Amino acid sequence: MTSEMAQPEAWLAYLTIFMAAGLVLAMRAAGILGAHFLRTGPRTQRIVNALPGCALAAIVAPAAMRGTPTDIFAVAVTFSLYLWTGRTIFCMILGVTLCLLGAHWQAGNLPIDPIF
Amino acid sequence: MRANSNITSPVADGSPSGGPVPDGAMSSFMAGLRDSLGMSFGALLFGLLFGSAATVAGLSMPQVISMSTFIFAGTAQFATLTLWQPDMPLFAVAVSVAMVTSRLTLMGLSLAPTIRSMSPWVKPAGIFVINDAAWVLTLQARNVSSKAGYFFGISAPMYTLWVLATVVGVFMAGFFDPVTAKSLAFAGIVFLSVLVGMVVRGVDAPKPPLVVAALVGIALDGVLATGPAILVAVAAGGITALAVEMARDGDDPDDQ
Repeated sequence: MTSEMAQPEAWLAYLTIFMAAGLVLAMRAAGILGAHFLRTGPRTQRIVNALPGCALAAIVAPAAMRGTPTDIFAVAVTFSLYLWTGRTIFCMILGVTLCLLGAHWQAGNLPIDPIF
Repeated sequence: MRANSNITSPVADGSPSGGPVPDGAMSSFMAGLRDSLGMSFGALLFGLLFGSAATVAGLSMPQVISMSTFIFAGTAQFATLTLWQPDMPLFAVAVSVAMVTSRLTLMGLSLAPTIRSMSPWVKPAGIFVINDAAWVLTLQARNVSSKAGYFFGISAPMYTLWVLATVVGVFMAGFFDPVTAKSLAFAGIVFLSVLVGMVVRGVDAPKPPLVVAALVGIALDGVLATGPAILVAVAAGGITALAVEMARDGDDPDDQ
């Protein structure tokens, strides 16, 4: 299935793709280059290690709060269970399953009346 | 699956630059392959979703495959897709991509010791494949003989699955009903929450900054655009990390 929407010309489409690719590569390389200017020791490294996690937390928390009650439930259960068990595959599959079941439950596609 | 490898050789953080492949590099690569299984599930699912969404948006198959092959960053690819139109707003695409991939810069900073340990011929590939899963799993791995080998052991299947799943996703365009597609899209947040859990459990870093960043992110949601809000939250987390580390030892923040 393809869209009937108007598309950019091929050259512009590829220019966009390769510009984005170059930019993402530059963003990755900037971190490596930036490390040359840091005095790296155990403490600095611990602070640096915390920053990407902060970015992930800043993405996950507001996005989770914007979700439906079942979405929030899925994130909360998956996160908590991962902290408890440390089992990646199990938690990933459980999280996706909860998202799917929750969405279809709220849409009335499951034989249980939604309460939210 | 536990993320940490059980290989018991001493940590050496990579092979000497330009030297022969050390004995531990292949075993570390295999350990990385094994530990990447859980995260590869995410790459597979979101590759499918991206291929499907891009095809529905009207991109040709070569364009979709080019995106996954040369960009290899789901958030950047979806950000580009949302701005896809006949008169491509290149500046807006650039700003959006830079904002959503700013964490890759931080991951590069964090992974610099591992990347620097790679041979000069391999280093560009190492930089190109920096991704969330490889970052967190590599930092968690305490007992691998070659962190560079371990890093590639994670990244290789992630990259391969991402591109292959994108191709399959092209043929699955329109396959998912809207409710399923929307819930699978949200599952991306669930995957990222597992990554945050991995940071909490295994990365050698202070934990309070994560809470601060999450709270600032929630507080700024709807006040600032997503990109700037993340940057402010990371800055708040960074200041907290500095404060925690200074309080922990109570001396000069410059390590030595």
